[in-house]
Amino acid sequence: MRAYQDMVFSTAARLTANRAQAEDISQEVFLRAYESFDRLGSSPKAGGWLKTVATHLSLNYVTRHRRRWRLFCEVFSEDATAEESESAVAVFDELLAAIETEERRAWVEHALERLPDHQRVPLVLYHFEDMSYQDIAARLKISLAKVKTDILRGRVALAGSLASSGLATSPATGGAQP
Amino acid sequence: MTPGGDGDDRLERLVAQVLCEQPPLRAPASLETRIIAQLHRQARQPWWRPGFHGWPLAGRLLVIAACCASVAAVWIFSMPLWARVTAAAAQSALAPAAASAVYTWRAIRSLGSLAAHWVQAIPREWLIWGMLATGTLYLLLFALVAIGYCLLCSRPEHSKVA
Repeated sequence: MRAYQDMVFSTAARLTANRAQAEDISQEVFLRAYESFDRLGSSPKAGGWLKTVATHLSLNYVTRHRRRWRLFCEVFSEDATAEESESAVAVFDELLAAIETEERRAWVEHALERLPDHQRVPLVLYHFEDMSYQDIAARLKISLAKVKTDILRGRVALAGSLASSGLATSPATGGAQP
Repeated sequence: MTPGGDGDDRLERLVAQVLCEQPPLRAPASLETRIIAQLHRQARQPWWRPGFHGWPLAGRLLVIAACCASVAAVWIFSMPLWARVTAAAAQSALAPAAASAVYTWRAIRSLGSLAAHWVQAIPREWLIWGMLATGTLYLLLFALVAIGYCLLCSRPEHSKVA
């Protein structure tokens, strides 16, 4: 369990942006794993099984909350402009060039947590869970175009969140702590 | 802008590079303790508590057999009883109850007819204007909720690059 607990917790925490909920989900994942211990105990696929269950439970939690606001999220979602994309590229360039790795990781994790669900969830599924646009659309039951738009807006918003936190404006001092 | 431009590709590469470097988050120290405590709690529960799927196979088969037997017994014993009840109703014992049910049904039908006459008596223009007013109020309410969502629940400060 110790070998996988960080991976399971990370998956749940990044998808839900709620550490207390992520801890509950992690507990549920390991309790289910215990029930299937005979099958999973020595299996090389145990890690994948745990990650899949963690993703599934986290998405169930997020989807329950999201369904209430889905209509409005879709009504008010809009494409990113070219200027916004360029500004976001500049922020990430600056982030990679000027900030220490450890500090950058903390900033990025904090910025991810602050993204709205409809942008964070597809972004995390795409970049951390290596899911394709089609798989994300099928799993979240939204259109392919909306997945692409939300991921693009999520990247721009991630840059915006980093920039608004003061990171991009004070690279020499490293900005404020997240 | 449609996703897929050069700037978007570069942004995707940069974000992928930054996110790939993110290590797993450290699970709280309390997680392992919580899971072990929960397993101990579950182990102390009686065998029938976790739910049907967790019961021993023999127990599950026994319960299924008992359920089938109960259904069969209810079916067999209820047939003569039902025949007796219908016979009694036809004679006189339950006749008043049956008659009152029929009267109630007729009264409901009469009320329905009355409501239909009232609706037909309302001028058509009134109905159209009423429907239009209802639709307008519905859209107004929708717009108010949408504005409330934008102001209170969405986080526009994160969706723009500062």
